[in-house]
Amino acid sequence: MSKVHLRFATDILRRFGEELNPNPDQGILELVKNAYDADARNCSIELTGAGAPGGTITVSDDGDGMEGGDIEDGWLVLGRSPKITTERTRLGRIPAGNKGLGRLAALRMGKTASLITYPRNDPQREYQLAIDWVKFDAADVVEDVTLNLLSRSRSHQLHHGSVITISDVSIPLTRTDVKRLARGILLLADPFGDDESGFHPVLKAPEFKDLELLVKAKYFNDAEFHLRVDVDANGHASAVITDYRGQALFSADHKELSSDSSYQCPPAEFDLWVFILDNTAFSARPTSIEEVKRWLREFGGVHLYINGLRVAPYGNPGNDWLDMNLQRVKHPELRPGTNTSIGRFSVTDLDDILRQKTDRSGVVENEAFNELKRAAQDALRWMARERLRAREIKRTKERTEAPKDVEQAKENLEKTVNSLPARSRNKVKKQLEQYEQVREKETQVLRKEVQLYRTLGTAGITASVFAHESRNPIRLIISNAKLLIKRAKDGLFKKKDATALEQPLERVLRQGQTLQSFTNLTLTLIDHEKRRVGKVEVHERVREVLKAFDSLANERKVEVVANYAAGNPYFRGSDAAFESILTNLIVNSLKAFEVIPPGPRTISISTELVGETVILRVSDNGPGIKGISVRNIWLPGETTYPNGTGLGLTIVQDSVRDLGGSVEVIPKGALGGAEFVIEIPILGA
Amino acid sequence: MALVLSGTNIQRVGVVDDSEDTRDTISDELQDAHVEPRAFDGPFGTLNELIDTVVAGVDAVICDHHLTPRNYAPCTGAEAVANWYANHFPAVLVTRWEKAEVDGIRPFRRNIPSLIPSDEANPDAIVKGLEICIEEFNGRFIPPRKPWANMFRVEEVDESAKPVQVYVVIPGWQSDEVIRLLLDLFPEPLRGHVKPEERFFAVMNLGAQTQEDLYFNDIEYRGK
Amino acid sequence: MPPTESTLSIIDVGHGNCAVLVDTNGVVVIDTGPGTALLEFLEQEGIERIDVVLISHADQDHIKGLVALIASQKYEVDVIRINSDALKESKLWDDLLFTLNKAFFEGAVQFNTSLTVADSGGFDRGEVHIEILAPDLYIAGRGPGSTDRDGRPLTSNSISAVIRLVKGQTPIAVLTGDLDEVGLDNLISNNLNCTAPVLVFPHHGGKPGSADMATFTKKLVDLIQPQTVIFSLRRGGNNNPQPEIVRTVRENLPDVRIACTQLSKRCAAALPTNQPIHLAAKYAQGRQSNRCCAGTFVINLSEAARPLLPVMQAHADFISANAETALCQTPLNAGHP
Repeated sequence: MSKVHLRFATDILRRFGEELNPNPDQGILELVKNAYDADARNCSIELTGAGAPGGTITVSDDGDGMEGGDIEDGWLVLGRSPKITTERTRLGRIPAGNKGLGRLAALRMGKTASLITYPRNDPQREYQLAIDWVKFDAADVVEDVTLNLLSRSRSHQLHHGSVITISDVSIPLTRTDVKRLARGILLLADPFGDDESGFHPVLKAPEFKDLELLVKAKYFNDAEFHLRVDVDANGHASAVITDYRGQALFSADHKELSSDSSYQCPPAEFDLWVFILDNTAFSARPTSIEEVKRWLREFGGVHLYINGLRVAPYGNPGNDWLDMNLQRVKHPELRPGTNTSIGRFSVTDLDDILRQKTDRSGVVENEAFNELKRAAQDALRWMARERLRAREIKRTKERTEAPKDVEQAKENLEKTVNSLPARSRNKVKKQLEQYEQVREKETQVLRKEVQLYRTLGTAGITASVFAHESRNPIRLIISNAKLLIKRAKDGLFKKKDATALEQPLERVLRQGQTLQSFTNLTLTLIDHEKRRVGKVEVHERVREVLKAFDSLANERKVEVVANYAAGNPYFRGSDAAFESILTNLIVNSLKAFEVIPPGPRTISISTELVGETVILRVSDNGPGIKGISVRNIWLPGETTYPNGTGLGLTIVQDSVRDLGGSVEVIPKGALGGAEFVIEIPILGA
Repeated sequence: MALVLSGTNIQRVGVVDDSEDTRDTISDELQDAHVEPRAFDGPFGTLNELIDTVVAGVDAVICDHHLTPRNYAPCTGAEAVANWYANHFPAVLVTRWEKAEVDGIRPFRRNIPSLIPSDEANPDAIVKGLEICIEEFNGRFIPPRKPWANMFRVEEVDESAKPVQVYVVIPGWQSDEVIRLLLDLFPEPLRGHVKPEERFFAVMNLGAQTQEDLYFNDIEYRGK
Repeated sequence: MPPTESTLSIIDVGHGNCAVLVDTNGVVVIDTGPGTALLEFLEQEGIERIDVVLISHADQDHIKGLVALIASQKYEVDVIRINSDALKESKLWDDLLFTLNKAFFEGAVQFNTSLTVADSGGFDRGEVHIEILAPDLYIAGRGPGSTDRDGRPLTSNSISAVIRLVKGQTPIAVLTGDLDEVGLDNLISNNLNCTAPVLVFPHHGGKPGSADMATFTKKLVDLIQPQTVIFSLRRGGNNNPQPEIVRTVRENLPDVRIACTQLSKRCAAALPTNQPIHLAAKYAQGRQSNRCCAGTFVINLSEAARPLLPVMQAHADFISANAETALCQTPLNAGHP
């Protein structure tokens, strides 16, 4: 019996390489991954003339290098993975490399490939190996070609790592190949580039300068906002939000960020890049939304650095120590999550206030750590608020600017039409007129709808106030009715005991009237006549609203004083819009009174004519505006009442704008409480 | 005619409410049930003025939770009733059972034995409520009110809510029911510890039927 | 001060089980029920030291009372044994460990998640011998989620501990937790002496899983041969006991006394208006709201006759006055198709 071996034709090497790795970038990336797995900190990928045949690819790193045995039993063995993925590397990395086949594909790209490696474990030795593929092409089976592994002693002992050079590349690398390579490299690279233990690959490809830059700058330029927070040594924070060009959009001082005193923590810097991953935003950019998403999946979240060293697990995939995702679920448009942002929280902790847990699973959650967290979360909350405000401003601007845009477009259209030959001009003009009419109709319908929903909003707020207020009258009517029935049974009617019957009946009557006025006020707000645009007489409207509130104000022991300017100011608009404004403001005043001690309570309403405008002032002697910044009161959903909707003042602001006016607030006005000043242009008085 | 509840003589019952018609209605109802009422017309400038005036004038009181809207007193009924209770003065609270009310009442709940929904505030319920209250002064609790020292666990903290809300579970009560509290309920120095998975000790009425009835007194943090 | 007489109380805790054995040398609690019933009972009896707590199986409902007991931090507890560690991943488990707190970590409490036949006798604190009849080491070792010798799935009920109390040579009672048919068959196959005059019926008299109620009940009463069968249940809710179970018990044991802790809705649509006068003088959860039928059972172990309170006649009078449709009284040949 003789012993034989299964042997491989040399052709199999080529076919394996090509078929298993259809894209050349995958092979090169595999070499980069090998460097990563060898715990390299730096890795350079040089593509010299690789855009044409005959170029060179060099991948060099400062990793652990290899010893003779590693090369013979590892690097040169094709198709077997020596890596067990659950086992971490010396620096705690999860191995990224695959089977040796990717490497084969890369090495096979050129006519020759060479390896020089300086092992970390044997500082006085270096190894060299060259593969000449031409020899393989000439041989029948793989085993026929012998490779020479040179082992040499070396003098500079500090240096370790590997250099792989692939020369005389036969198939040129296309831009797409290099782009894919760059993306792959980015998924391995330390995102901030300043972690000493991180992986810092550098792409050198003179033919693809922009891709070189991409690897260097990563995707930070694709962020929509950059939040920067500084907490100084006194625990005072300041924050600024810049746009993608670095232009400051918003800034805040400590008071605006934190309702509380200073942060009891060491000084820190917090940077957060927030991405808006929306297809239209990315359509005009060189990067694709998918690659940014993939990158953020890998690196998104806020990474914690203490004295320059990264501390795990903060910012690892799945770690959301600032609870950003919970907030994002609640406010998806305003809050970044760990998959839509990347951040770095650097703490300078010279006094060792933050202690790492002994099992290296993070920082002991002491007071200082919680304060750091609070600072970050306060800043995130502030950013959400500013973004909400910005959205509101944009919404308003769009509304006021839309008509201007329409005018301009119309003018341009007319010019174009006028330049047409006479015959077709008239035809087009006619068509346009028709179109114009239809569009005008549509606009009117839409405007009416907006009016409807805004007044429905006011009616809803008023109704909820009154539904509250109605509970007691209803209860009293029922109680008194029961009382009367009982008294009737007891024979009191026969005794003609007037007070025993009169008093409960009077209460029933009074409470019934109160309910009636509530119903009337809510119903008149949604009366469709009131939404028609027409002449609005200010004084008449004020009187009507006050009349509707009469009974509630009486109940609440609130005095309502009205002072009217001489004359009868009027403007064109809808009654509903104007009444919405006044109703919401009066409801606000009544609510404000609930939190102050008993005493005289006054709401004052006055009108004043200044030039072509009427100024309506609504003020009270309540507590004024507190517990909320004056800028924030207009934001939808902002309220200081446990039962509030936070929509009242948003409706006031929108309604005033619909009437072409403006509204301002004085936190402590003439009567000591809040004072709202509304200016509306009038047609006459 | 005087009421005798658990050995305590109740001659007159005060009615405290910021609405005059409500005061008068309850007074009439009490009158018809042969309990002598006295409506307090207010207004009261301070909580103490309200407490003292009532204690000086009657033997027990029924008090509405809402006293501020109609320019009547500067406090909530819950605050007032808890105060009377602490002075062993029988008092029942009337409420509308709204979410915001529960939050406002909870801090005082240990000292509010009888809470009556406003549409059930009839003389029978008032008398029964006063009786429960007097029994507690004598150290006798109905099971839903009995205090127990026990433990609760924080499930979630909603920092985005205003005011901040804390969701807790009392394993010795209903291990699967999450209870919503306000962070304000915790004593100031403990608030930093209020985080998911943290556990606190408190005196609670583990016999409570619903979570609205639960009180949390003497909250303590004893570390991990 | 050691108690002058030893008693076994099977407490009305509503839907759940709880028994307290006050023996000459200590107190043993078997299951802790839900809610505050056990705490109320201990307070009323002036008990502040508990030597042993045995939990028949790891249902949330059974561990909950234990958390309340420990978290009250009022009781000195020496030994806690919970049968099955199936709960180990739950928050309730963490709660328990947390409340055991230092006492456990300092070794002041012996705490263990096994309670099997091997532990028989290990918890005796006086005259009463505490036998653990089930689970045996095989099914306890396999644990819930696994299968028994015949390949039938084991639930936490299957490995519910069955505990028999014996004074001298005389059996007193058998407590069965939530034992199901698989558990019962395993118990039967071990050929142990399981007889006792009092049987606390498994699962509050509810359906024993998917098993046929009559078959299960017959097997159980044949094994125990009790004179009294107790159903520890809450009025309303699960609407126990199941009529078929009660009927099977009565058919197989013609002279049996059947007694429920609370008055089932099946037996009386309305609650009695008068306060009960027949109950044993110990805490019962249903007492204040007139929901008790037999309420809490008390066996005085010091007396030679070991009478079971409430006495049968007074209880029977209560039933005939207040429970028109009492399952324990209706003629057996009527009412069931």
